[in-house]
Amino acid sequence: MAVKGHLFDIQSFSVHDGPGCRTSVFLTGCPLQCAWCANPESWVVSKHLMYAENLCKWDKGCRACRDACPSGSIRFDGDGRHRLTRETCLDCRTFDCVASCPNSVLKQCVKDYTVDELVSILRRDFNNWGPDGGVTFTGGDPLVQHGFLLEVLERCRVLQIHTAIETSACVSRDIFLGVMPYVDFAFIDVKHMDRDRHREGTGVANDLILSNIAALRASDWGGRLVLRQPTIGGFNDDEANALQVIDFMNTHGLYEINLLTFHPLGETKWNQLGKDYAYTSGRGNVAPGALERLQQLYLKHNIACYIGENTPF
Amino acid sequence: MNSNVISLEDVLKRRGIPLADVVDAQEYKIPEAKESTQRLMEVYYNLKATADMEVPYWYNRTWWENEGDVTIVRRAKAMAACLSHITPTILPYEKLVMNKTKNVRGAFPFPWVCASFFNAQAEALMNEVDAPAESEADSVSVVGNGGGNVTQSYGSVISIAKKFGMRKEEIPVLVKTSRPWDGCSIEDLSAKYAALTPGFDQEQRIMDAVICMFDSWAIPQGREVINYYMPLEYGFDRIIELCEEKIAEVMGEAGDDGILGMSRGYYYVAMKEITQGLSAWCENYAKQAGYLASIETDAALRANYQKIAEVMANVAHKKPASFWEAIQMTLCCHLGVVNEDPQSGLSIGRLGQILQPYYEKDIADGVMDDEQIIELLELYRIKISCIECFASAGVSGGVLSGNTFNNLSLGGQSYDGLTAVTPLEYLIVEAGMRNKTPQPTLSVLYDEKTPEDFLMKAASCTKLGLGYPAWMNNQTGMNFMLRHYGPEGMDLHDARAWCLGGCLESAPGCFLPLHYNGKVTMIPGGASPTCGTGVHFIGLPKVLELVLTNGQDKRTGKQVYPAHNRTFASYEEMVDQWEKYVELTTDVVNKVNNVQMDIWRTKNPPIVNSLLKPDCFAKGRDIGMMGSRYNATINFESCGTITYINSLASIKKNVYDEKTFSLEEMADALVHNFGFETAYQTGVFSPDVRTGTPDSPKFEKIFAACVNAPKYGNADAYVDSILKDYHYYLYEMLPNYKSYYGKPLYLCQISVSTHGPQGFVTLATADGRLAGTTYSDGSLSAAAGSDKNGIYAIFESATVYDHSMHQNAQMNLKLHPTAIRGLNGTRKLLDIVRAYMRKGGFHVQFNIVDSNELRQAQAKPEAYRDLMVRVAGFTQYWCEIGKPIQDEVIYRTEYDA
Amino acid sequence: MKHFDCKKYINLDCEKGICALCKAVVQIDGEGSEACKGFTPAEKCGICVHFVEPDKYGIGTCRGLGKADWAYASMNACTCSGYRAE
Repeated sequence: MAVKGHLFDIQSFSVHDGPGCRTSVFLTGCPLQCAWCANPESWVVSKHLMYAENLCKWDKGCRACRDACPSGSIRFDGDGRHRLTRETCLDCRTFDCVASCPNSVLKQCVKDYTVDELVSILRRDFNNWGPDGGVTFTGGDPLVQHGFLLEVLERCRVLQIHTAIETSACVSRDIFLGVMPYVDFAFIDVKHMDRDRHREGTGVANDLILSNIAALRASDWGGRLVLRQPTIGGFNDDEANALQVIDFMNTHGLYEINLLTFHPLGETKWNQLGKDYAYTSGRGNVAPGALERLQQLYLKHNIACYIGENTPF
Repeated sequence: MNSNVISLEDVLKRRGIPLADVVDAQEYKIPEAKESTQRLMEVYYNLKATADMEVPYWYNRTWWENEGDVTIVRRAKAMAACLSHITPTILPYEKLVMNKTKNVRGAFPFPWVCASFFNAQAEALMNEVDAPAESEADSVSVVGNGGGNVTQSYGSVISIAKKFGMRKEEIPVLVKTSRPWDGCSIEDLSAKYAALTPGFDQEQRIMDAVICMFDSWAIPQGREVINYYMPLEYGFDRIIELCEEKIAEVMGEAGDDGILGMSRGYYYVAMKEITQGLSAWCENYAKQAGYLASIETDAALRANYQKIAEVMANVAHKKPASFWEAIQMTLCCHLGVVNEDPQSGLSIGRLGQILQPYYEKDIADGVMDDEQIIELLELYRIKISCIECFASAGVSGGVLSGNTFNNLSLGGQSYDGLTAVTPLEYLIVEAGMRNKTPQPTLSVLYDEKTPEDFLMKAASCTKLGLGYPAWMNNQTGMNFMLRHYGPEGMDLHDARAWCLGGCLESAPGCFLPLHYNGKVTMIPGGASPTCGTGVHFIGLPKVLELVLTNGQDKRTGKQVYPAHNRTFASYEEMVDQWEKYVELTTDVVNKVNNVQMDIWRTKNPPIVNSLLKPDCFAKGRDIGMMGSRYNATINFESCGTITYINSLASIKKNVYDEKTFSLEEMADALVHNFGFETAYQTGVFSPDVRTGTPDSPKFEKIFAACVNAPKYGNADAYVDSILKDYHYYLYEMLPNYKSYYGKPLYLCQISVSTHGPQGFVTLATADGRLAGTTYSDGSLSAAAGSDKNGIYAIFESATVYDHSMHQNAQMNLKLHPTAIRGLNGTRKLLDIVRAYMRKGGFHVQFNIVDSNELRQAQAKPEAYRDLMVRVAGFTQYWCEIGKPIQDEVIYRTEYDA
Repeated sequence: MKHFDCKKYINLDCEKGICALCKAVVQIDGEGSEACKGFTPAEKCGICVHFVEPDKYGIGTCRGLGKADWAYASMNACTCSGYRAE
């Protein structure tokens, strides 16, 4: 049976995830669990449900989803609010509740695509990208579903579609070095240079990530590598960490980094998945001017540092 | 400190990383508008749209004095008297002069076109108490109440048509001027004969139901491209001589034409009269400038007045001998044409190509530099923005949103088939970036031959969020020209001369040889009558509603169409009934339209425009008598296409394919607005606001099924194939109906603002849209919130048929500013334009604005006087558009990064 | 004497204009509508010798241009070939 990819979004006219205009393919699964994550729905690989409470008309007596649910996972009890039993809901195959909802409250997060299905969308979008664009595989971390990814990448190579990846590089060396030859452009996240701090923020240490980057640089890979750092106030916005990054980059002949401004974009999604979000009420914000100061530090060390979408590609 | 700062560019250079584009608007600091522009814009922002009686008075007096004369001569004398008696108004710091009237944002009523409104209101007006009563269309249009609109009477100012202020002392003049036209205005005469058309009762029921938006006589000219060739090539004095030569040649000669041959003589007499009138109008400005110079104490301002006096004296007689004189001449002719009929959409055409020879010479001679040219172009924008159209509130607000669509096109191909882009066109874009005004809106005729740096310049202007330039596909436009005007002899050369008339009406043109600066330049210009008159805006979803209600309008209780008494066993049968109703509508409305336009052309022949349009002067025939080179211009205008298509998809799926509900259940749900309160009750027209009633649970399932049915814009073949079928149907059906020129109708897809008022009268639709809310805008924009697969999927859906089958197609996209922020944002915006053009998409335009900002502007209009948005085919001040359209613009799906 | 009736008044709209001398915006009605001592009368039908018998609305008869016809007092006459000041 053909391998299927689990995708939680395909975004067209994606302009900040690689050169030119692109189509971004969001694959589920992530080895990291960052506390500030903007796409927490990507942590679960298979299909699951998101619920947007602010749109729900439970207070107007709407019970359409309950009546449609085959497993009885949706209830309206107590104060009459929508209640979801996620344990039973997760086994759902039909998601009848989504189609029953007139208010776009419920969303099936993940859809399955065969390689052919995804490639046909990419071929369609190929007409739109322009000379610089292409496809960016992101997530989650696309390397979690490396089997599916590799098949799609091989097809892209044949079609001469420009490929980019956004990854944590937190996978086994074999997988990493097996996929990368099919990738033209890579963003690799380096969230912290200190292994303990990295573990605090993301749940895992950074050893594998850093050694994978080193191994990639040591290989004959000819793609373009830009490091990325989601800059989180109080976590990795300090100069000491930046100096360590600079040191690492110089050691491995890297000279491009993209600092991303932190936005608490994930909050709504965390809530819709029934999780609590730690980065509320200003936590994680970076002080005004701090990113520019970090940029100067990088530039002084002859490293091209881009803030946010102000990239030269 | 700063000396220690290292720039990113330096590091990029050292590292050898390419930075592709440096023309980005974020990098390029747009210079401020010139001092003259700033001062005049300050005046502009505080102007009230004003109607006065000077022009109607002189028209009336001269017209009745010449009772009994040959109509075209009589009318030319009346028009000439109007122009030559307009009080010249010149403001300090102006360089380009002339206005429609003595007021700067001025207009005037045309009682000879429509007097019934004023006659019916004579007593009320004289009593200065009652607000004017409203026709059905008037009462459903809400003219934006901000900005320069005079929506209510105050003090000595009376509000007319909820848009213009008129001085109280002129009201008796209005009443007295209107009275003689009772029974013989264009409106009254055409009503008299339209009543004899078979199906007139049916037509009236259709108009009352607002299935069709308005009558053709209301704006009989416009939606076309003007042609400035004659006055540029010859000048007024020489045109007068040419008229005399022609009179000597043809008066008394019929040639081979026993019907129109003799009328050539009268045509040239009329042309001589009007040219003298235009000349005198310019003379008056020269005199006024001289007077102002004589009392001016400031040396610079005095010199400026003297320069204006010199330019106007030259323009009054000679052919232009400089860029300044040439652009002033075009302005004079433009205002002359818009003063002869109520009209909107008289487009400027490819001005940067027409005036390039003058620009080139002035630069070469050192007479002017680019900055001085830009100043004139900035000031030109103010002049064009001041062009107002006097029409009823139904037309001004409901259709036009107060805009008059003086579109300026850029790019395309030259006579020789090379890129037509000129150096002057870069400056036109630059002036539009420095002086941000709603008019003239700019349109780029995108062609693969267009220079990349010009496209980038234009994209960097689009990126500013002003709504212009919009992007049109030159090859698709040319293909349409050849396809549609081929039978009239359109060849490849003339096809290259096309551009936009009105907001989006592809209009045929031609090239003519301009002799200037020792060489011959083939300059483009319009070559047809109006390309946007005919069956005016048919609300497609409303017709579908009536199919489901057996022809009865449930909103009013009136039987609009004959009851079909059919039960539809199949989807195809239902669509068949819709087609029958549409054909009935086209038939009866077209006949009435033909009578209206025939009365207009025989009673009220266009004069100034018939001087300018090729080949009128060559043939000795006015536009009404098919003097223009191309005449198959009259069309059928659609409204609410995507609402209609999505409704069909929902019915097809829910009723016929999956049989979840019966058609009766569907109709019942629509009549009951799915159990929600209507927008009429809540006063909120935004499609995302829903207030439940006790009935809601009853319709919960069917509403969800309708909302979740397949929607256009997602690259879903289920619904896109319905769109394709629809286009082939209209392409084949419409030519069965002929215009008053005896030419086939064709499809025009501009909703302008009619998706507001036509949505207003339409019940809930099967796509889940609620009663009274706007239809989807344009013809190919996805219904708000329904496009879930991104822009590329919309492009895929939009191009399932060849856009050159019809006059146009309209795609509005709303981008959040962040989507094209960054060093390469302009490049990426251009990439997306190019993507759509490569697929043959005819038109795309952008609102690049944050919805939150629009909501703030809605709450505090006074703080956003200069905020502009793209509505349909045009840009307008936010505060001057009606609330339903504001709501719709806010709700459009916004693409961010 | 009002700004509105002065030759140096430049029309803007139904409620105001500009003084050609001082460049100030001046109102037609109410406060600030009174002209200064630099007032020069604008040519208007109301002060033309050929304009006679105005009614209460200011509509009278013009005898200055061949065939007599009605005219109104507040109309500008600067472009009229028959205009003669009183």
